[in-house]
Amino acid sequence: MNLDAFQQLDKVIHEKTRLAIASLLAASPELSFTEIRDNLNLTDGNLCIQLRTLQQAGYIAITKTFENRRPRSTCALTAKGRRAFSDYIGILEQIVRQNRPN
Amino acid sequence: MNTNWAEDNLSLIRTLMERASIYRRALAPIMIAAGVIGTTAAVAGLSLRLDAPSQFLACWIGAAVVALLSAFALARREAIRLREAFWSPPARRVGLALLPVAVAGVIAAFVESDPARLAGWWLLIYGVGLHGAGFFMPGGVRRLSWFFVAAGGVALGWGACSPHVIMGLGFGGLHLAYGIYLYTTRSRPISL
Repeated sequence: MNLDAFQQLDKVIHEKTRLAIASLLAASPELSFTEIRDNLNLTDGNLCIQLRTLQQAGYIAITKTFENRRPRSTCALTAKGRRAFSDYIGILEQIVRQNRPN
Repeated sequence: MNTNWAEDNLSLIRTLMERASIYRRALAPIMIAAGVIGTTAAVAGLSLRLDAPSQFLACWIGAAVVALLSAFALARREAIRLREAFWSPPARRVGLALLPVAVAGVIAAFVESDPARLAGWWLLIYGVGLHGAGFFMPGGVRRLSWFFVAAGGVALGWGACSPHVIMGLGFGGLHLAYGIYLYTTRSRPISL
């Protein structure tokens, strides 16, 4: 395996749960906390931690609103996050290509 | 060094991106609409005594067309609202998976003259098709499909019931119940 390519992988996105969250958000303009949690079968606490990590890296934006007097948090990939996700996929594809038997 | 993880990650990304696509989020209103249309058709069929095979066919083929158009309109509205592609690859797969169901339903209408048995066949065929399409949709759809299969089986085995009641409880009731379930489970309050 090309170690250079592996080292280029964004460690924030590479973690399995955060990768899953980024994948969901990459396919949708925004998703609610509940939708992400239910789709990935995560606990509230775990999802909060992973979202905070992504938010601190500047990869997602979290908006808090109220719907029928209930708090609703929605998450969306930022431009930086979208670029990081796209780069991550590019590196993965490169790794797979390089290791595919001719 | 083993690089299967890279392929696994790409596969996970593909699956999750498909899962987040538009038609899934439009599923609750689509199910509610189908349920309301099914229930209304059953009430209309019973109250207007549309018992002759041709009347039963007209009533339920009409209901199916209205339900289909409503589903398209709801999914399209959601796609426009979120500026997403309506006819996405997963939506195409769902459509293709359900296409044989529509064909089988039409064939059943031609070969089965007893409305009560036809209602049973329709529910059975729809359940089978929904199960196939359910592999590109939330897991709950596949569970729902088994209820359609069971309802179809019961209707075919029992057969001593009004076909409008069978379709109302099956097509109307099951869609409505699943739609309500989707609405209630997705509106739980959460604060980050």
